[in-house]
Amino acid sequence: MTDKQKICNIRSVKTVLTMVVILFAAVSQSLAIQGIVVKSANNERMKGDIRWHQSKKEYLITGKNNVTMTFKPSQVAKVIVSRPTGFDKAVKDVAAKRYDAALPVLNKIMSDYKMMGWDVKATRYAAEAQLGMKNPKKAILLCEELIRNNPKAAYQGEMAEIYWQALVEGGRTATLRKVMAKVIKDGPRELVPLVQIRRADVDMKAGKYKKALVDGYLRTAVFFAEDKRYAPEAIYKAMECFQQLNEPTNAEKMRKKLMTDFPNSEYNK
Amino acid sequence: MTSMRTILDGSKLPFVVALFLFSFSLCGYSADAKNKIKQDIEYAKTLNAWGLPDYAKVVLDGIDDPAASAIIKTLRIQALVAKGEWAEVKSIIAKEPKQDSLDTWAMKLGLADGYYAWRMYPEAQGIYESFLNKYPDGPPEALNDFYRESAYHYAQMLLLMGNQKKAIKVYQGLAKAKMPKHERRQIISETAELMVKEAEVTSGEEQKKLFEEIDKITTEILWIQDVWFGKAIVILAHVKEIQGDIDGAAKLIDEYWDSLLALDEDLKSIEEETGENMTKLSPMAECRYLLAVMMQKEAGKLIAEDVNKNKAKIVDLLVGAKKKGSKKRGNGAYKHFMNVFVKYPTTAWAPEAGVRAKQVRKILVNPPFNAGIKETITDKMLEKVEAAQFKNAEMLFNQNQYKEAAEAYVKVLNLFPESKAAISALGNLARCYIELDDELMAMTTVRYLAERFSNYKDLSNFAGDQVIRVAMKFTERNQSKLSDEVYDTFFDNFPNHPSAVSMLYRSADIRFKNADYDGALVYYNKIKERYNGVPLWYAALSRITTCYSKLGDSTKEIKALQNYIKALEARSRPGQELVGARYSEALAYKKLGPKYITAAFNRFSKLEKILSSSNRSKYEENSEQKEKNNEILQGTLYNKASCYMKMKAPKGKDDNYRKKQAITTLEKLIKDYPKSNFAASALSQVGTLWTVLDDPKKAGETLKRLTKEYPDSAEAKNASFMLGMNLLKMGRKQQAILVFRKMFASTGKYSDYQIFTAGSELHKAGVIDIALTAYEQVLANTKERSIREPALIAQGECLVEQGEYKSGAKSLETLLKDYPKSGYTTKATLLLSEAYSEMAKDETDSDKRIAIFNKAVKALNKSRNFEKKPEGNARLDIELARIYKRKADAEKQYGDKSLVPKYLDDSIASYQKLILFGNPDEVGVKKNIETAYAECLPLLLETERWADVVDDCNSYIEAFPNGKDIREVRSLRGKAKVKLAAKGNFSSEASAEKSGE
Repeated sequence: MTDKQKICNIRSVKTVLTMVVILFAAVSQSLAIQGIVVKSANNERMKGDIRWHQSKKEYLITGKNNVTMTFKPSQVAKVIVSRPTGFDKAVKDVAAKRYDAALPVLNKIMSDYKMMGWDVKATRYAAEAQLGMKNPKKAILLCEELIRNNPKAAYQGEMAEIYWQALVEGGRTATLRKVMAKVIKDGPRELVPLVQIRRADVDMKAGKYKKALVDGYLRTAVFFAEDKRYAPEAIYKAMECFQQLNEPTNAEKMRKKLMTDFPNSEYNK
Repeated sequence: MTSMRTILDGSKLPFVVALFLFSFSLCGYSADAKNKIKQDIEYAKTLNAWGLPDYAKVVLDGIDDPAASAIIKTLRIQALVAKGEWAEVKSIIAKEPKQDSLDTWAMKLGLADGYYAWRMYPEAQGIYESFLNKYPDGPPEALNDFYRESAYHYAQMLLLMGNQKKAIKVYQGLAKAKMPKHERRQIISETAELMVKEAEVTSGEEQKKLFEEIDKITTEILWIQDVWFGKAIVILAHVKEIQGDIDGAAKLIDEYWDSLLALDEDLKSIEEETGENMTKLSPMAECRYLLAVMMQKEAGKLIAEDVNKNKAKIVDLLVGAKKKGSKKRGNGAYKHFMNVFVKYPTTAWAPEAGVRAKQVRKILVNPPFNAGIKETITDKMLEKVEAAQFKNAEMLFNQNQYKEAAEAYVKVLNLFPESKAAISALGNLARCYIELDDELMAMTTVRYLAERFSNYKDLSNFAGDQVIRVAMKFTERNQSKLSDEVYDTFFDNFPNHPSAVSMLYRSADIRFKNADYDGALVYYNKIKERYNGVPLWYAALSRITTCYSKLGDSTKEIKALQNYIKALEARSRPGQELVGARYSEALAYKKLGPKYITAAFNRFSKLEKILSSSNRSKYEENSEQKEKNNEILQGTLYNKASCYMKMKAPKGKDDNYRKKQAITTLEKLIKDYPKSNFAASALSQVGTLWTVLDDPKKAGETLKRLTKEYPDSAEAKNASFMLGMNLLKMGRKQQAILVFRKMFASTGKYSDYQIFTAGSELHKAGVIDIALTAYEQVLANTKERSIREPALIAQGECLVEQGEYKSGAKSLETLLKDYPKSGYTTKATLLLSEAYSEMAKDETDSDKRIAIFNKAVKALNKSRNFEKKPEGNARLDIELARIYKRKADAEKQYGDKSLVPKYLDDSIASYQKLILFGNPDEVGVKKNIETAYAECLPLLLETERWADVVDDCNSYIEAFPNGKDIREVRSLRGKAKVKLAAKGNFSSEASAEKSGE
């Protein structure tokens, strides 16, 4: 081989390598979406093309002047982007059990809108679709993929309940308990009653009625009575537990309490 | 249930004491004597009030005065009532000659008060009713005070029972008694309040009558301007509310506004002067709150109807109506709520007023009202209200008013759920529930406290302290199971609490000392896993080894010892503990049997080297540890010699090689440590070894030396016996038998006790026939119970073991007949049951067979009467199951085959009873449950209950993952599944699979 040929070879290898690097870089970043990033420090709004860099775990915003700035998630209070095309139809498809139609759209949104809020919503519906198709393991995978970047999604926001449901259906009760315990211990108070009730649902299903009462329904009914969203459900399910434990007097007390405190609740019907 | 209750007030006492002191003063006692008796009475009273009735009794027993008998009886009754000794109290009262006298009624009502304190309401009701019903038009003068107190107590009790109507009647009766004016005003005010509550839930004529009564009462009260005056206004406003007349209520309050204001000012000045919280009594707060609630409710109705159409009216209600001829608005709901919240933070209405103020503001700032109202409830205001509310609840708690305190705490906690005060409140709330015997709510509260607040800000330790206090409360009340549960909650949630390790260790230690080694291991292992390197961690590792040793699990003991040794070696100064651990490890290997003797030997040798080297000082820091190491060295040599005796000779050496090595080692021990505890035994062993080596001369010299140098040792005194024992230990059974036979034949030289002991050791070594010889000899020779009793049971046991059921039964029956209260009764009846059922199994005659089986069951039932421990009862369940199994076998062999399924079912039922209801947490029960599984499964298979076999196998595998029958159980499960599949029963298959991660 001549020197010229050798140089050409080297150059072509370099080109290929460069292309690989570019391709890799493209793959590790989400698609650029036009939107606004609100900074945590001063609420300053920055408009531009927003991308999420997966490997560096940061946002890249390219403004009008083509200058790209990077921000860590802790520096970003909010990301505002417009509604993804096809999202609403995909949600309707999921509701109508047209999962095959919904999933490709949702998967694309999850990928393109990573860490921009819509990925959470899309994951939620995609997981619901997978559960509908009796694939709890896939549903769990989707959720956990999101949680890797967004740990709070495990217990907060739209996706949380679907994730828990997937864990139950997938037999991952130990993981579920860990997630729930974390919320109860460290999470914001407004999340606690729902988590307690869902955890108690798992216990009740396993026949652990006393545990469901002590650590779930009774606790919620007594100490979270101010949160009217969940108190009726907690009292009703406490009644059911007492029935299972063959304690009719206590069951009756719960029934009366439900009727007195929440006469219009659907749990009275 | 508490063992003792303190009656909240010694209500009957003041009256009786007064009566006594009056009569006392008429008697001719000296001043000193009078004082002493008075003091003693006060002393006894105080002791009762402190919940020390036993000590009160001691004081009362020392009062020797007939005039004081009534007061003493009443105090005695109080003391008995505090302990719940109702029968004795009733008996004392029944003995009174005059059942209608003042003294007797004082006692009866004391009893009623006691029933009330213990929440035995129906019993209390009977007494109160019979007393109060005697005076429907009010009490006579002499009984006036009695009557007042009883009626008041009874009324409170009726309210607790939820019988408001009856409580009102009692209050009305109470008002007929004579009492100071201010007290009457309180009573009739409370009556009116109850009537208002009753009116809320009635209608028509009944409600109308109530309103009329209320009107009469309030008219009386309104004559004087005091706190009750204010209450009366509130009551009247409340009536207006029930009647739906908001305007009327507002007008009423307006009318009396100045008077209410004046009252309010008075209360504030008293508060400023005395520092006592008087504003909480202010009727102004309640009035304004009530009015505001009515306005809010009405506004709510109008909003629901049509918010836009009713906008103006809604604003009038919530913000205040415009005054005539002015643009200014009066007070609406918002202002009233804010006023109550800010100015009366200690009242019961303040927190709710704050919440409602926020609700009203939310309506007003949003469309269509869009009012510009600033958020004026600051954090400081909230803190003030929060502090006051928690303080109120705490006051009730400190006054032992647990029901009221619990209600107050729950209310406040829902308003102020997360703060330091909330944490403390939760702890107190849990204790309230304990006092109220509501264990479910107590556990709910404490587990919530632990889970939610274990990571809360920097208050984790504080929260942990509250949880500990709850656990201690349960301990105080001897509710150990619940106490343990709370401690477990503490350990799981507060691993970093300063007391966590020490408490874990303590929990483990308690179980260890009670020989609950499985239970102790749970806690020691928690220390091992979580607290690497702390001082108690090493102690826990050591204890883990001891637990396994006590449980007889040598494999796990060795593993634990190896962990412990590794941990000690990692220390800069390994210490004497390392020597101890190595020694224990070597002993544990030795216990494992011949296969591991070399491993044991190597370890003893290594230890001998360490303790004989110059490096030894790093394993001992003081003389005490040096002495311990010396003892270990002696034990090492002794055991090393023992290992030699069991090891095979190396290649090229004859059989005696090892024995000679053993002798050398033992002689070194004796030479270096002549005063060692092992020395006499070592010399005895040497003698035995010379016997085995067929050197009687040396054997004789050794035994002579033993007798000379260690004359007081057991070995010397019982040379033949020890020789026999040593031969048994060395596995030389035949030689041992010869020695023991000689011993038994040498009459008079050995005591019956020695012969019995020899028999026992032979029994343990499995040499049954010679053991029996010993027992027979002893039973023939002695009448001493201390030897006959154990000899009879041992003889019976041997015979049964050998299959000599008839003879065995005879020995056991003799034991039970001669010593009916024997401590061996349980064991004897169990063996007897086995013997009879085995005899019956082989009886061909049906009638005789039934009779013998009946004897077996009778013996078993007798055993059950004596058996107190859960472990024993579990064994009895197994034995009963076995009897049924033998019955089945007998019928299969000789009798009616149609009875076989029934007996098999009975057998299965007895096993299943233990499996389902046996508590594996109780000492000794778990291993019996394991046995039940092992013996029941084949029966289930035999009766073709495939699904049950699969279920039970799964349960066994889950409960005993390392169980001794695990292989067999897996095999049975496989067989059953095949049978199920063959039957096409796939759903059982699916449910038999265990899901999970």
